Amino acid sequence: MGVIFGSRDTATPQIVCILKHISSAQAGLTAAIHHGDEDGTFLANLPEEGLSVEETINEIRKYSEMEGSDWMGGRCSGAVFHVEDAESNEMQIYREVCTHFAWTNPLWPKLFPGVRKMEAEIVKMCASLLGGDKDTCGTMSTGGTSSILLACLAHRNRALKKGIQFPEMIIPESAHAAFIKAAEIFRIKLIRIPVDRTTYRVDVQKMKNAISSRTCMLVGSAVNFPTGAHDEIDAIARLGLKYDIPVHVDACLGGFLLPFVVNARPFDFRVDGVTSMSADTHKYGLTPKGSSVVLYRSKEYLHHQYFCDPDWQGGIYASSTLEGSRAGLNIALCWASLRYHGVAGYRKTANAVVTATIKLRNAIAEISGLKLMGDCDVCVVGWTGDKGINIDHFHSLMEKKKWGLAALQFPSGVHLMVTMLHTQPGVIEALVRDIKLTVESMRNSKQAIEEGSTAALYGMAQKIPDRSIVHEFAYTYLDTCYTAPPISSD
Amino acid sequence: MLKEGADAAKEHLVALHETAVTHLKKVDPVVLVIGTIAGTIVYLNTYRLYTRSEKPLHKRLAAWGFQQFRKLPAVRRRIEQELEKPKMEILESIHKDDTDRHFYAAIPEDALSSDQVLDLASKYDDYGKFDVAHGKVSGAVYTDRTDDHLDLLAKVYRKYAYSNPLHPDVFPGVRKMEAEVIRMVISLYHGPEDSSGSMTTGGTESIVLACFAYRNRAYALGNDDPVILCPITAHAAFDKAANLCGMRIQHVPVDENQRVDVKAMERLIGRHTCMLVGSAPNFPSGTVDPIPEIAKLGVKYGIPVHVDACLGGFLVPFMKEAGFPLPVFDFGNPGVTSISCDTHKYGCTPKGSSIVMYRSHELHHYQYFSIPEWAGGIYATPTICGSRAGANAAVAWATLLSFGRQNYITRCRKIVESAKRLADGIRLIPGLELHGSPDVSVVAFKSTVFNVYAVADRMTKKGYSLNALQNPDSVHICTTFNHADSGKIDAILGDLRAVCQEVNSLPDKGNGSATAALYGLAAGIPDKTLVDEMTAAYMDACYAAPPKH
Repeated sequence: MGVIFGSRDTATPQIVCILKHISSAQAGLTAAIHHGDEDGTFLANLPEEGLSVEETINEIRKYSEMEGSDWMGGRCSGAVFHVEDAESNEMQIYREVCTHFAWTNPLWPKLFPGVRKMEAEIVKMCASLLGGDKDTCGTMSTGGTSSILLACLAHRNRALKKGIQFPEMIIPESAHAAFIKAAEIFRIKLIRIPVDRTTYRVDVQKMKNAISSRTCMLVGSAVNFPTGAHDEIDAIARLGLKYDIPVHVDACLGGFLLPFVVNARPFDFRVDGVTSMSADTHKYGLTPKGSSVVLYRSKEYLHHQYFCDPDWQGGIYASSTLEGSRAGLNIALCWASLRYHGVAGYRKTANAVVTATIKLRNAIAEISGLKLMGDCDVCVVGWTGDKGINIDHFHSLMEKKKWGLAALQFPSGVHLMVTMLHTQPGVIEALVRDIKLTVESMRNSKQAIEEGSTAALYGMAQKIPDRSIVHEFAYTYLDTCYTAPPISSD
Repeated sequence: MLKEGADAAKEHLVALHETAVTHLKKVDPVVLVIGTIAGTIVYLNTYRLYTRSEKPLHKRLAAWGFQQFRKLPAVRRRIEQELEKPKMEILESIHKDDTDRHFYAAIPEDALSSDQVLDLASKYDDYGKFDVAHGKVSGAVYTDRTDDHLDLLAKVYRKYAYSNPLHPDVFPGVRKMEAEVIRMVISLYHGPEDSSGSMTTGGTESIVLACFAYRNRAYALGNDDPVILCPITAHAAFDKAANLCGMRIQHVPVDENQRVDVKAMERLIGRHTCMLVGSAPNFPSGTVDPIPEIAKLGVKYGIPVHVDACLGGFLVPFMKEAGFPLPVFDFGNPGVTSISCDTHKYGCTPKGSSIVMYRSHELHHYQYFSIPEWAGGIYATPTICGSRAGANAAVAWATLLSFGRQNYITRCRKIVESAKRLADGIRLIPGLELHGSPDVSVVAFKSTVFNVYAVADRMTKKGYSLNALQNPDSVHICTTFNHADSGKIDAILGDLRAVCQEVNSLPDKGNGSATAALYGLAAGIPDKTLVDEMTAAYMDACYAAPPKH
C-alpha cells in the first residue's frame, strides 16, 4: 500500500505518521466509549440464579446513570428528538402498552390481529400525511436505514424482473449512507451525483446525464442529513417520469416536519413521479426508537419488496420486510404515540424546530469566519470555516465546551440537528455564545488540534488516500463498543 | 518406441491443424471475429441462466411455459376471476377478529388523552382470540409472561424508550448492556477468546448477516459467485439472504430422520461454495443436524460453517444439564465458525432480539459496514439497521439477568419433557406417524392414511394454532413453556386423537379442507409466481382497511 502514498522515499514517514495518529485516536476512542464506566465490571455470563425484580432494577439504574444528563440539556446534535419526562402521561402510556404488547409479533397476523391492524393503520396515517391517495401503500420497518434498504430492494427486484441484469441507482452524494449500504448488500451499482456548492442540492442536470438503460431508481432527499438541504424533488420526479424510472424521496428527517412548513417546496406523493418515500416516525414523529415507514405509490412497487419462498418445508413462507419475526411492541408504541400527539402536536413540534433552526442559522450567518452550507431552513444547520478558520479545530474546541456537534467531510464542516431539546429556552442562545467565543479565541491564537479528538481524526481521515485504512479504523471503533471496559491502571 | 509414438502424434496434430486452417480460411475473418464474440456471450448467458436456479431444467421450462400461457388475455382473465374468491377469503380471514371494523387512516387532528389511547390499545389487544396460556398455540409466544416479568419490563422500558445504540457516546449504558448480552450468549456457546458477535432484531436478520459476511469473505477471496450450501430443512431466511445479497443457494437432501445427508453435502461442495449450514434444531421437524460431521467438512475444505440455533437457541445449551445430551453443536467443534441464536424465543425476552456470533473478529468484520467518505461523517454500523431500538437490548438484558441460568435449565427440562410426552402420544394415534426426529421442542407428524392438513384445520376450529409444513405434507407443534405441563399435553393429545378419527371417517379423507386445497393447489402449479401472487394478496390483506359488510 506504500505506493499509493507517493514516491517510495517519502512514503514511509507518511505511513508512520498516519499510523501514529490512528493509534492515538484509537486510545482516545476506547477512553471515550468506556467513559463513565468507572467500576470496570462486565457481565460475561448469565447469573446462575435469576435476580429478583428489585435487584434487576437496581442494576439497571447503574446503567441508566451512565447515560448522564448532557443530552437532555440539548448539547448534542440529533439522537434524541424529544423532551422526555419519566413521569409524563406519555411514558405512562408506553409502560402500559409494553405490558400488553411485549410478545406480539406481526409475523403471525392471526395470532396477533390487534398489532397487525395497528401497523396497517400507521402506514395509512403516514401515507395520508405525505399526500398519498387510496393506492398508497407500504410497510413499517425498524428504522430509517431499513426503510431505505427496503425501497432499494424493491426497485432492484423490479429492475431484475424487467430484465436489467446489473441495475444501477443514482443518488446525490449527500444522500444517507443507507443507500450506499443498500448498494453493497443488494449488489446495485452506485452512481453518486455531486451537489451544488452553494445550495448543497443535487445537480439535476448531472443526474440526468448519468441515466442509462440500467438505472433502477433516482433518489432525492427531503431533507438530507449532512446539511439539511432540500433537493429539487419536482425536477428529479420529472426525470423519473420522462425515463420511466422510480423516484425515491428520503424523508426520514423531513417526513414529520415538511408537511407543516408553510411554503415548503413540494416533496411528497403530491408530486407526480415520486414512487416511494421513507419517513422516520422515531425522529420528528417523536415515537420511541425502532420505527419508521416505507411507502409506495401503488402495490405494483410494494410487491417487489415482499419475499416469498413457496417451496419451504416449514410451509409457504412470506414476509413483507427484511425481518421475519418482528417486535409488535415497537408498532404498538408507534401507534400509541401517533394517536397521542395528533396533527396538532406535530404542527407545534415542527414550528418549534424550524423556528430554532432559523434562529441558529441567522446567528451563524452573521459570524465572520463561519460559512453556512446551503439554506439550512428545516432542521439541520451545517457550516464550515472561512477566512482562515479551520473547522476541524473549531469542532474540537466546541467538543471541549461539551457541545456534541456532528462532523461532516468532503467538504469539512459541522452540523447541528435541531431537536425538541434545542427548542428549550436559552439553548440556542448558549450555543451561539459559545460558537462566537470559540471563533474569537481561534482568531487570537494559533494552537494545533489536540491529538485523539474527533476533529483530529477527521482532519487525518480525509487526507488518507487508501480508504481501507479508514474502514479498518471504523471496524476497530465498532469492536470497541462490544468490549469489556479496560481495567484502569490505578 | 516412445519416440515413434510421439512423432506420430505430432504429425497427426500438424495435419489436424492444417485442415482446420484451410477450412477456416474459407470463412470471412469478420464473421469469424463476430462469431467468436457472439459465441462467448451466448455461452456466458446460458451458463448464468442455467446456474441461476437449482431446479431441474424440465421444471423450469414447464414454469416458463405456464407463465407465457398465463399471459394470454383469455387465460389471464379466467385466472383473475378464479383468484378473486380466494383473495376475498384471505381478506376476510385476516380481518375476522376485527370486531369494530373501524380503521384509522389519518393521524387525528387533535391529540387523544392518554386514557383514550390506552382504552383503544387494550381493545386491539383483545382482538387476539387464541388461548396462548393454555398451550393452544404452536410456538409464537415462548414464555408464560408473569406479572413480575411484565412489571420489570415496563419499568426498564420507561428508562430506555428513546435510547439508540447507534450513538454509543450518548447512550453508554445501553451500549454496555448490548455488549454484555452478546457476551453472555457467546459464553453459553463456548466461544473462544477471539469470538465476537452482534445483536439483531430477530433470527432472520442474524441469518442474513451471517450469509452477508460469508459472501463478502468470498468476494475478498476472489470467489465472485458465492453459493450457500444448506439442508432443505434450513430456515427460509437462508433463501431470503440469497435473494437479498445476490447469492446462489443449493439445498442438500435429508435422510429419513430429516437429518442432512452429509455425504450428499460433501458431493455438492464446489469452488463457489462460500458456507455450509446446519440447524440445531431445524424449524420444520425440530431435528438437530449432525453438526460435528458438517464442521469436519468445513475444516477439510476450508469453508465456514454456520449453525442455525435460532429456534432452540436457549434450549440446546442447557440440554445436557437438563438430562438430554446432544452431540456437540457449538464452537466446541473447531469447524463451526458462526452461530445464530434467538433470545426472543426460549430466552423469553420480548420480541425483537437475536444474536449472531462468530469464532473470530476477522470473520465478524466481513459483516460490518462502513463508508469512510460519506458527507455526513465516517459512517459505520455493525448490523443491517442504522438506528436501533435500545429498549430491545435493555429488556433482553433485564430478562437474562432476572431469569438466570438455573431457571433456563429448569424450563428446558420441562419443555423437552413435554415434547417427548407429546411425541410418544402421537406415535400411538392411529393413522399418524412422526415426521423427523423430535430432538428438542418441536414435534412434527404426517399421515399416509388421511390428509394431515385437514387435521390442522379442524384443530384450528377447536381453538388451536398449529403450523402446516410441506414436502412432505405434515404439521408441527412447537412446544413452549406454555405447554410445560402434562395435563396440557394430554389435552392436546385427546383433541388430536378425536380429530384424526373424524378426518379418517370422512369420505374424502380430508382432501377438501381449506389448507389441504391451498397446499395441493400450490404443489400442482409448475409456475410458482402464482403462489407469489397469492402470498402478496395475503400480505396486502394484512395492511388493508377491514372489509365492510
